[in-house]
Amino acid sequence: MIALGPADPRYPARLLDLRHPPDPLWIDGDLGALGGRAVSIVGTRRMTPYGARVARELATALAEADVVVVSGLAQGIDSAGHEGALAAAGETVAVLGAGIASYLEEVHGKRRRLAHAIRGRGALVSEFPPGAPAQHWTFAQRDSTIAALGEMTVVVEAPVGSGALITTAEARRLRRPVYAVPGPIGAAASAGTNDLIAAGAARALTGAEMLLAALGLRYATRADDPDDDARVLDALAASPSDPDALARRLGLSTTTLAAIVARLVIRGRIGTAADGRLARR
Amino acid sequence: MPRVRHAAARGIRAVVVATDNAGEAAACGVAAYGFGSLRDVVEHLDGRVRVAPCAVPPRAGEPRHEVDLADIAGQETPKRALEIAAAGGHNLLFVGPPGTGKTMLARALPSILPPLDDDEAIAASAIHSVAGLADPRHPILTARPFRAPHHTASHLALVGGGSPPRPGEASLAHCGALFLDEVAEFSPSVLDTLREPLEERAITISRAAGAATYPARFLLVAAMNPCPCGRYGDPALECRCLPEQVERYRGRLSGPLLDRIDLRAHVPRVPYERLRDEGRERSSEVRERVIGARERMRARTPTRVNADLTVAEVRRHCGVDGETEALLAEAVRARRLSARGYHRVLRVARTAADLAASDPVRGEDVALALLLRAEP
Ligand SMILES: Nc1ncnc2c1ncn2[C@@H]1O[C@H](COP(=O)(O)OP(=O)(O)O)[C@@H](O)[C@H]1O
Ligand SMILES: [Mg+2]
Repeated sequence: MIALGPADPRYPARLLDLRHPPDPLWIDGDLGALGGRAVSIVGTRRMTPYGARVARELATALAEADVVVVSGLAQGIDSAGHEGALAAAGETVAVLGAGIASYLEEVHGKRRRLAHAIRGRGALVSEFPPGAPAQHWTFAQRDSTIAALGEMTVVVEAPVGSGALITTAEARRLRRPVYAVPGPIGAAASAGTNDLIAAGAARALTGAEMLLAALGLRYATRADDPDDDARVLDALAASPSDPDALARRLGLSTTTLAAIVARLVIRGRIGTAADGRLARR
Repeated sequence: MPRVRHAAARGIRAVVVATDNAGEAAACGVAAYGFGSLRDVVEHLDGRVRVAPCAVPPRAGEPRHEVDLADIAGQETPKRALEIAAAGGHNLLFVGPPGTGKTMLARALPSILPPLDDDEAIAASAIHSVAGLADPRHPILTARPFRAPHHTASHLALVGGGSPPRPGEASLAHCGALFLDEVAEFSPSVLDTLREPLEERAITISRAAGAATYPARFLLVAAMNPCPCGRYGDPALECRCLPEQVERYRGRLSGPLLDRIDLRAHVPRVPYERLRDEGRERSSEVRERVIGARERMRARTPTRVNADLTVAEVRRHCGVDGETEALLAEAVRARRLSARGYHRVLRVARTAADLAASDPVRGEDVALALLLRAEP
């Protein structure tokens, strides 16, 4: 772990745009991940399966284009973003709301494994001394740092009052582009993001292709799916579904559906969610 | 009863037992003389008061089932899963929001299980006898046991113990089914004790007073909510649980138990219109298919149902066509299917084919097995 001050030539240049750049910034991992092309992906802890899929998909597309994904390693959208980047063998940076040592000591379960994976394929960073505990105000402060580390910020799902909106507000102050993923009207998890779009504070993001175009990069499009496969994937785009409902909706027999699903499962396009429903990967 | 069976197997033709146990003993195929006291025994042996051997008690008639599959609206895929579980002995997990019929589905299982054969009937009855649960008028079970311990059940209640050692629910479910409703609410340490019976198909209880081994070969059916609030995945309601709460909740059904579950079905909320749909299949029709499938299994592997096929037997009996094989090989190569998961899919597919009276395992059987796979 090293600590860099703003005067250090290795200090991440984008952070210098902040009114009070972290001094010092503690870094555990690959310094190189902090200087190159990077996009911040943020959102609520209470994500829906739709948000999980979109965060993952965007992060994967960024990683495949060698863009670093920056987020806060919270549960929910943050974790999905880091995971998507790692799944595509990309680099990702987690900005912590506590000291690095203190965070690693406290965290358990899935995020513990994730934190260690990020140390190996990117970096854990914090503006708080290694042993500092997380407090309410530390999160608000690191939310701004996340905005400053990315060239642009994408907020995937955020209810009204979400911490993710601190990041988007900071990104606007820094005059960096802000994108929000539109969600269903009436869904609490998308109320904040839809508000941003309505107020003109964020542009509606229509997919990974648009994001990469905004970065001046090309999106490696996948080969077109056969018709039946595409219909099943479309039907699962908004949310996971159980096989009976899906078969009814598409007017397919369960046997036909099972055959299509088997093909898509094996190709890694869909999986069974932990509750047994079918979900897009 | 186990002692009488043991004696009968060694050629003993007459036994002397307590009056209350005479019916059970007679059912084991020996002349059973029942007495109320040792004095009566002496008088009988001296020829002063001759007592006739107890008549073999009549078997109880076919039991009436609590729930018929035709009572359950919709849920085609969960019903398919239940049918496959009943036929091939594959352990099954139902996941879904509260009130969608998970308990009802599980309770319909006895109505589609095949009848007990004579050996199974005696073996299962013997355990009930040791536990003091045999009905003196009908000591021989006619239906497969269906045991549903409450989630507050202790170690002792679930796997047995005490002094002298008594069988628990897992043994009482021998030759039948063990249903763990709200399985995430069970104490993890209690659930962990099921590891032994699931692997060994028996439970050994050792105590200072001696050890006893009780058979425990049962079909496990479990049901749980998808998350602590139960709303996860319910399109009509918003789930309020954080991702890690959901993960912890699901993690309660961990390692050894989950490893032994072949099938998982999501049980969704049934749309109102479908609650009144017609033309639902009755349990009796499904049961005929299950019995037919069991016969096919017996012809191939007389001592094992499909869930228990060895890897060599899977290779021998679960061949699939080239295209399907290539698809599965691709999944294994891409690590989307573990070696263990691969064999499991083929065992389940074998059962689906048996239910359709098909000799080869067809592509659609493999597809269904993949759809109902318990691995994430
Ligand atoms: N698919 C269904 N068909 C008919 N009745 C149903 C169905 N699902 C639920 N019910 C009714 O709702 C009640 C609760 O179902 P239950 O099986 O206890 O749900 P769960 O175990 O999933 O909470 C049942 O007793 C039954 O009356
Ligand atoms: Mg229930």
